[in-house]
Amino acid sequence: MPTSSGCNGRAHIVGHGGDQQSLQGLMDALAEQRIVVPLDRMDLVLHEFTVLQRQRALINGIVESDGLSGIHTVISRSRGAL
Amino acid sequence: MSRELSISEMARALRSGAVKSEQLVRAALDRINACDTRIHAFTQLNREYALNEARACDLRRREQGADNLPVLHGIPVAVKDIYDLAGQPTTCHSKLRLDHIAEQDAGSVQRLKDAGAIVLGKLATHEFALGGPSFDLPFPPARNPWSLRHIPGGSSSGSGAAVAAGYTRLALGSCTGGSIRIPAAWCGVVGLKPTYGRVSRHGVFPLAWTLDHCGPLARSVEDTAIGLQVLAGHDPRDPGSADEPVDDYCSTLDIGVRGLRIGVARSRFQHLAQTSAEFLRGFDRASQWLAQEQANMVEVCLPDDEECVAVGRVILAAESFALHAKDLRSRPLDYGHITLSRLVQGAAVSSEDYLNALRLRRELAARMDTVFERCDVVLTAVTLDTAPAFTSAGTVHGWPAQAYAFNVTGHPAISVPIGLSSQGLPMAVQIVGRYFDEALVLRVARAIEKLSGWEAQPLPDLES
Repeated sequence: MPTSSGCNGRAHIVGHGGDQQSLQGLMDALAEQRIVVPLDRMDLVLHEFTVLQRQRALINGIVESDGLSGIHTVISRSRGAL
Repeated sequence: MSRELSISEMARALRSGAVKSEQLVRAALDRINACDTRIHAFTQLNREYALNEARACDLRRREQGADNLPVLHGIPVAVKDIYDLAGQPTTCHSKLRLDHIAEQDAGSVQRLKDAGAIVLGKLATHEFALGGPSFDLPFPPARNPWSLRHIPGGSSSGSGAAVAAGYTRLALGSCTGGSIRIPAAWCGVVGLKPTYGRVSRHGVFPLAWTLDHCGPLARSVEDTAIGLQVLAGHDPRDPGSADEPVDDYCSTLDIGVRGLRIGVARSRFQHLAQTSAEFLRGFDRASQWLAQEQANMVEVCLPDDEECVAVGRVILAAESFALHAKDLRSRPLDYGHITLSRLVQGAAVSSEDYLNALRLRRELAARMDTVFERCDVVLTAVTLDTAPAFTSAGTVHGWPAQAYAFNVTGHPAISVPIGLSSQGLPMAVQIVGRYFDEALVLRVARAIEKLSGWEAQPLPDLES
């Protein structure tokens, strides 16, 4: 079964137009976690990844640049409070 | 019979002896038998259990009288197949969980049973309340009773479909990014995502701990209020459960909206390509109805939806990955295609991403609280168009919906129908309230239900 895990070295995803370097980051992360994704499922993985990359960048950009770096958080939520 | 009576009417008919619980359950089972080979709302139907429980309810009523029986005594309900029912599988619509048997009832299921409800069975969901309408899972995807070619929305797809099809007046769903309100909107039923912590999640398979909410989908706002009254309350077994007083949700339902300040968040979606002109006209009609009832309508600007969705998705990716990492390593091919593609994303989310998302969430929640300094509730969209067809549904990212924000901030939000589109598919609006102010959210939703005439809307024709 063809796979895209790091067990078989670096994945080669061609023709998706995604950010190849970032995608390699996902491949490396999956390999590190010992998670194997069949190649025939990679189209949707890449689509999801592209969306999530944008969203991560948006969040990190806002927190770093909009004066929000001082805000705190708590891990648990209760009473509707954050 | 049960599909034509509201919950309060059923309760009255049971108390007076005009109807028996066994009749209500048989009517529900007959409807399910007749229609569910096409709708696929149920993944598991407990026919004999339900009939035996109904007979036991009827016997109890005969022997003890009906005066002091709980509100749902002898009334059929159903639950999404991520809620534990003791002795039965909680499959989460997944091959990975076909052999799982629950040892005890989920906290919310226990509350339903304590209130006398009869649980007919388990309802379809997107796999692990995450995937999407899929054909590579152990059960077929639920279909929309208003049009079998269209999706019912999700992930509480079976809950929306079961209520819309008239199998039951009340079903339990769960909501991490819109999974109660979106199927409610597209199936023409009422769906309430309560305040974070209002309803117990004990015994409900999690998707993302800090975004997950449990709540009811029901045929009417009154049915929803009755359901919430039963479900709401502190459960120490759920670490996110709130120890807050529970209001009386039914007594204020029909007070109306006169004098209320209702924020209108039209600017949030009016220029989006996904927003259909027909929905926009429906939204404006709903706004006008409330204004005609002498509510004070004020324009408000909510936190940016794109930011809310980004925060929600990064948190979901991290938390769901933590839940599924072990199975992703050992059984990746047992997940459906869509679910697998979404779950593996968490491998690439860093602690910086996750914690920045939590920090921004706090900011977004504070911004939402500021909105409530200017108004009592907010009127906004939940879905921006009618349900997509199965052939064009794609992934949930492409759905015309705006529901994620209030899972992120934790505010209570309800979807209430406003009518049918020219294609005969339901449309809805969303009412959002302050933390733990479900009573007011329900009251405004009830006003819209009356003003829209939806309470007189017959069930979809499933005979043809």
